[in-house]
Parts: sequence; C-alpha cells; structure tokens
Amino acid sequence: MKHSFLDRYSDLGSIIHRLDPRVKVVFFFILIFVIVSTPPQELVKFTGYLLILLILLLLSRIPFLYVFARSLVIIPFVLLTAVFIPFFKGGEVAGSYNFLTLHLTISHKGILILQNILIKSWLSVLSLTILTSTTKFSFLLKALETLKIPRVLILIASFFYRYMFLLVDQIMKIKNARDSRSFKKNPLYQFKVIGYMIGELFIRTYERAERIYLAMLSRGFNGTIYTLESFRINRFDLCFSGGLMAIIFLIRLWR
Amino acid sequence: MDKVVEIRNLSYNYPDGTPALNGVTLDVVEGESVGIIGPNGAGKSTLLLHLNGILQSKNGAIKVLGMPLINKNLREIRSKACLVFQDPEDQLFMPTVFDDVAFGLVNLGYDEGVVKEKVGKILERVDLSGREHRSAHHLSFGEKKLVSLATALVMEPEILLLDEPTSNLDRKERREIIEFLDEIDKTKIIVSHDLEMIEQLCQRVAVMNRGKVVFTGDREIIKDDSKLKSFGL
Repeated sequence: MKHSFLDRYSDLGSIIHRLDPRVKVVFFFILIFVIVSTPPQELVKFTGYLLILLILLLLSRIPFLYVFARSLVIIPFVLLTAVFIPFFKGGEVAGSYNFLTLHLTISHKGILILQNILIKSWLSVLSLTILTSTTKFSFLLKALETLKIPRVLILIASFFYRYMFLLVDQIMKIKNARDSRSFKKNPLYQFKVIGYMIGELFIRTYERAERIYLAMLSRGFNGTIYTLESFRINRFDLCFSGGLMAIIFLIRLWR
Repeated sequence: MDKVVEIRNLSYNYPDGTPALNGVTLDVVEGESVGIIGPNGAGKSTLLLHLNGILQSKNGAIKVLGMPLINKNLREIRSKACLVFQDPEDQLFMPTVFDDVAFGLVNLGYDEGVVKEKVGKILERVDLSGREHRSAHHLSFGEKKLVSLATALVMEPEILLLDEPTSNLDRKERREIIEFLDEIDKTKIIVSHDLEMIEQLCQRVAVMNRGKVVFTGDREIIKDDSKLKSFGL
C-alpha cells in the first residue's frame, strides 16, 4: 500500500522547492512570528501577508485547493478552544440573548480576540503547509538539525516519518482481517475488538522498535546519530527570501 | 584456510526461559559460504544474532576473525561481520536511502567525501543510482532488499550474515538477488528456508533442529529428502 500524505508535492521543482531548506525554515518562522505579533485590528496587514503567501503558493505550482484544505485542519481545534471567549470577555456589549434561564452576552472585545486567534492560526498553518509541501521531509529534518534543534526531537520526527506509513499499513491489514471475519454488528462487541486491535498494534510496534534497534546496533550505532550535511546557500536564496522578508517587515511596520 | 568464525558449545535461553540454542558448535573458514537451514524455531536467526554480538551468551564461546566476542571487540567485529535482517523495514530506518546506506560508515567515523563516494559506488552496484533521496517507503520490496544489502556491503565487511535474503521476493527479484550474492566474494553465512538458493550459493550446509546443529557437510544433503525429513525439515 502506498501513501504519501505528508509531503505529496515536495518533488516538484519550482523555485520555491529549490530554495535552500534552511533559508526556507528561517523565513517561514520569521513570517509566523511577524504574523503573530501584528495587532489584531489591522486587517489590511493580514491581507498583505495572505497575498504574499498566495504568491509563494502560485510560484510553487502546488494545487491551491490542496494547500487550502490542509490549512483548514487547524480551524476545528482553534474554534473548540476559542469559541467561548466572546461570551466571557467583559467590555462593550455587542449583543445579548436569553435562552430560557440562560443569559448570554457577547462583547466586541471578545469577538476581536476570537477573530484574532482564527486569522493568526490559519495564516500560520497556511505558512507551515506551504513550507512542508515545498520541502522534502528529510531535507526539512536536516535543515532543522543544522539550525540546532535538539537531536532527540529530530530523531523522533525522523522515525515517525519513516514508520508512520508502515503503521497505517498495519492498521489497514488488521482492519481487513477483522472485517473479513466479522459477523457481529453489536457496537459494544466492536469496541472490544478495537481494544484488541490497539493492543495488537502496540505489541507489533514495540517488537519492531526492538528489531530496528538491533539493526542500528549492528551497524555501529553508539547513541548518537550523525548525518552528513549537504546544503549550499546561493545568492538567489538570500536575495529572494531577503526581498520577501523586507516586504513583510514593511507591511508589519507600516502605520 | 583460516577459520573466520568459531562457535564452541554455544547455548542461549531467551529472557523468558525458552531455550533457543543448545550447545551449538560450528566453524566457518575464510571465503566459504555456509547455509544454515532448519525448521522454524530451530534457532537459526538466534545464532546469527550472536555472530555480531547483538545477543551475548555466557554459555559457550565465539570467536570472529580470531577475536573473542566480548564487549571490547564489538565495534571491530560489527564493522567486519555485517548482519542483514530479514525484514527490510527493520534494516532501513533512516529518512532516505542515502542516509540509510551511509549510516554504518558515518558511525565508523569516515569523512564526508569518502562516505559519499562509497555510498555512490555501492548504489551503482545494486543498480539503484538516482534513488539516494527517496524514502525507503517509496521503493519496491525487491529494491528495499537490495538497499538492505547495500547498507551492509558499503562497510566492506569480511563476513556477511544474511537472514532470509530471498524471502517474499518475486521470481525475478529473487533471481537478481541470488546472482548478486553469488558475485560477492566474501565469507557468507546465510540463514534461509530457500533450499534452492542455499544449494546455488553455499558449498557447505549446516542443518539446525531444536537449538542444535544436527548436520554439517556438503550441500548434496539438500537433494536427500528423507534425510532432511529426519532433521525435522
């Protein structure tokens, strides 16, 4: 079974793809920092950031809908945590409602905070989506490594990336095996089966981890993973990201 | 001829007490290929895991290339006796093919230039040039097996320890792997159920059953069905 749901379009060869991964990582993190630090009422500035992201997207030749759909992933989580803020924040009242005995008031300040959180989180995730879909995962890891992100974190991400697909395969296999022998439709019984499946998956994963460790040992692993670095920053990388960065700062600092 | 592997009276119990090896004695001389066959659970893979010190038993003695298998020698032994696991998903754990093949070399402390050159050469040899930056996940099963072999070969070992090199391969992939292994001019110890392959590649065969080596001798034994049956095969 083949999956590639993490970096599906990372093989395209657009100028965005060809930028040095380290430059890209730094650029997008600064962009996110700028987005997050922009005052909430300045919608024009946010539109400016969005435009820049759209231009990057256009240059990268990745299907717009693909990135758009992915960037929305964050919205439910944000909504879940932030949707109640307008009801609790004090200040100028925007509207009040009565449900039976419940009295609800919504404040302007609360709405502004909700809007702020939604816009900023969406723009940030959009940036990260563009970053991850224009950079191969292995390059991304290496870039993070050269940027002195703790090695343990990178190792965890690296193993996760390598074995995530295998895990999904295994889940599908177990599921197929269950479905081809499953006759009872009793939901309670199904829950029990799912419990067994999770247990089975855990044992298989644990044993695989053990075998991988043995494979690492037999090739001389002694606790630290060394990798070779093979990036080179050229003038185009610096000019391109520097130029964009200047525009972004200009937007941010504009009065 | 020099003995490159000497196993004397080796016994091993798994942590839960299950006996896996029960007094194994076996010698392998330089340059020969030995096939280890036997029914499932006979202890073949367990024996292989002892030969580069991944499992260590207090009962019995092993010498690899004249060095006793003790912690002090592990680094040296592991760089000269390379083990290839049966499941390439276990053998290949890095994000890209290049990193996987380079893993052992980098651990041995080679310079970047040397590593790149060696990895490039070995990938050319297994006909997988140009796949350096692929994730192992995106290779076919046969390719994964080849890359697994490459991860060991790149270290230029003196002894290759292979666990089921032909399992799960289709006919063509299997033939290619066998031809490839045949060309490798090193001491090989191959554990497998694929008797035809053992017959093709190995001059000498050791049959294991219930943790013991019950037969060592010429590969002719593979043709003798009744004898194999008597060994539990």
